[in-house]
Amino acid sequence: MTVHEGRPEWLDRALAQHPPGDVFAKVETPGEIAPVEYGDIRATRPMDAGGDLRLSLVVDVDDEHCTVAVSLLSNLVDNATDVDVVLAAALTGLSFDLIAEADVVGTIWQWQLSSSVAQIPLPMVDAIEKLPRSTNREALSLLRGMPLSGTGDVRWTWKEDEVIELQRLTADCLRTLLEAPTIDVGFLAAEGVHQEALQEMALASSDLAMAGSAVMPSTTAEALGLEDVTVSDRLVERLGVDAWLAIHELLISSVGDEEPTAISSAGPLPHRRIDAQRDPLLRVVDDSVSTVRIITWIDLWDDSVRGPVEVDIGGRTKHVVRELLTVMES
Amino acid sequence: MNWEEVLAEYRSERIGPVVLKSVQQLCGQIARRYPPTIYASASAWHRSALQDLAQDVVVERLLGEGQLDYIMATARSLPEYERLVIQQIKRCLSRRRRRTIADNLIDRSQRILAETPFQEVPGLSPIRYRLEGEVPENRDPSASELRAVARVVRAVPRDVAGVQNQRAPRVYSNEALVAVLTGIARILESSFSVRDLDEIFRLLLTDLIPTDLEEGDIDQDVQSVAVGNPEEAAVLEDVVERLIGRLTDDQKVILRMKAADVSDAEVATAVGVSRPTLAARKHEVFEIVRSATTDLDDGQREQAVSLALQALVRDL
Repeated sequence: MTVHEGRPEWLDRALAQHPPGDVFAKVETPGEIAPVEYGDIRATRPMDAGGDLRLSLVVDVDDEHCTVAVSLLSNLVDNATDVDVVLAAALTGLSFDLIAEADVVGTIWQWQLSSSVAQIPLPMVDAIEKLPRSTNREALSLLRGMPLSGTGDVRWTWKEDEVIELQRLTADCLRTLLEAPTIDVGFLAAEGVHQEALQEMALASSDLAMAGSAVMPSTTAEALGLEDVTVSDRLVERLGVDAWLAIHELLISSVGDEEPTAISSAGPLPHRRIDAQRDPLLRVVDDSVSTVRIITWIDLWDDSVRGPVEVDIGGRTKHVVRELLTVMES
Repeated sequence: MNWEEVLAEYRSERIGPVVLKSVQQLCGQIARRYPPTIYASASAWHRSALQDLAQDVVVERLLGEGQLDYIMATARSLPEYERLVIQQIKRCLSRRRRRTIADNLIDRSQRILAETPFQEVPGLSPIRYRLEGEVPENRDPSASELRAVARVVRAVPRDVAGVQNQRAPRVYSNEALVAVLTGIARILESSFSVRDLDEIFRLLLTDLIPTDLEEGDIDQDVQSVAVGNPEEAAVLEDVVERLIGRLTDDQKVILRMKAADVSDAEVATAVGVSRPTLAARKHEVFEIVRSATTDLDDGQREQAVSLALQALVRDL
């Protein structure tokens, strides 16, 4: 007997018996996302567009670098090892049980997270975060699975796959954080900045690049149009000879084969004091990356808040993570 | 079927013809790789057996355990949706197998528990068990207590030879099962029921039954432990007695916990030493085992250690 069109009776009974959860709606909800909190369960998106999501538990929040540390969550509760903590549906309020994989933890960007779908009590998050290295009895008393019994254990391969899955989610963030940040070359085209400040920025750029603490983009000279003598003469005039020589040497040593990004395809950077049409930073951003970490100066922005801004380049949204310096600091 | 159809159906009615058909098709693809005599109690994967499996997957896993909500919250493509549904089909099959093996262990346990040194707690229903002369609390052990006991009795070596091809492999020899049951009775502060045993066996079998793996991936690196002739048995008994006699209480704990694959950090916590100190203590224990079994060949040494571990759990 069919109660609902196309559905057998047993299915109607099961649907009535098990009400739906709201996790799908929470993951899909667009709009303003509340600040990330320690202990949040959120869906995590890979930085590749269109990738599948994973649920994760936030075990650390770093607002300065716009990152969070997350522990991967799995629905395969039967696979729990002794470093996987059972988060029962009754605890999370979700419609399914999860395990928090305390040994599969990595760093991602905050903008990879959905809105919060559940919250875990903070002492429990603390215990989970410490579990792999803990001799704390509270952590060891968490509801966990059986220890792995070597490579013959059927959970071994699953655990290896989970690490690969985590790498898929963390790759962009880790690569960006490990690489030296990019020097904000926007100052070379900035109007209204005092010459002494420009000189300091140029000399600081040189020092940072020489020390390996930051990178001068290889397409900067082209992006600035320095092959045009009038443009380079004007820059010499603005910087003064000493600063120009320092920056010129840096520009020459960093020249590469890449083509600068077409300026017409870049949108404006929020809070930027430099016009998007003239801003060389927008032309030197590597087209293949989704996040750029820059060392920049407060003088080039209307706000003094460390943190990310979004910009559209070539139809793709890129996040620009700013490490703001003052002229005195640099 | 495409991803948009699955998504639209989930938004409107959760499961309808689209999802149901996909589950049925995937069950057909996956189940045929599993022996029907073991996973379906049937001679072949007939239409009715496949429908039964699909119904189990939908009712128990996708709706009963909320897995459809998880799948729809994380999948963003048809291949990922299908991969996650297949995971649930395999888990469903795996539980059928585990159920069979655990049932077999429980049947054997009930026969052992009917005899001394075990006894039923009088006047309780369902039946609860305890050791003779002991007066444990008569309550259900907590989930944490059951997990803790499983972690201890896990030190008892298993006999898993033939697990792939048998419908209900025995897993433990009778002596090993007695050691497991005695250990359970000694560790728990409460008496225990068949339901508690079921949960403990489920945990003990965690690493044995494939969940997300194909049947052929089972690695049978654990061999049957069987004692040979009476003379050899007497020699082994003597070696085991001497071995256990040389171990201090802490060394017994270390040997038992390492046999159960417990992490060094946790073992160090249990015996109240630092991890570097534990490394030295472990070395001492392994040296005692080596010297006590030095006259035995590899097979006999394995048997001796197995018997010693049974004794360490049984005599807790």
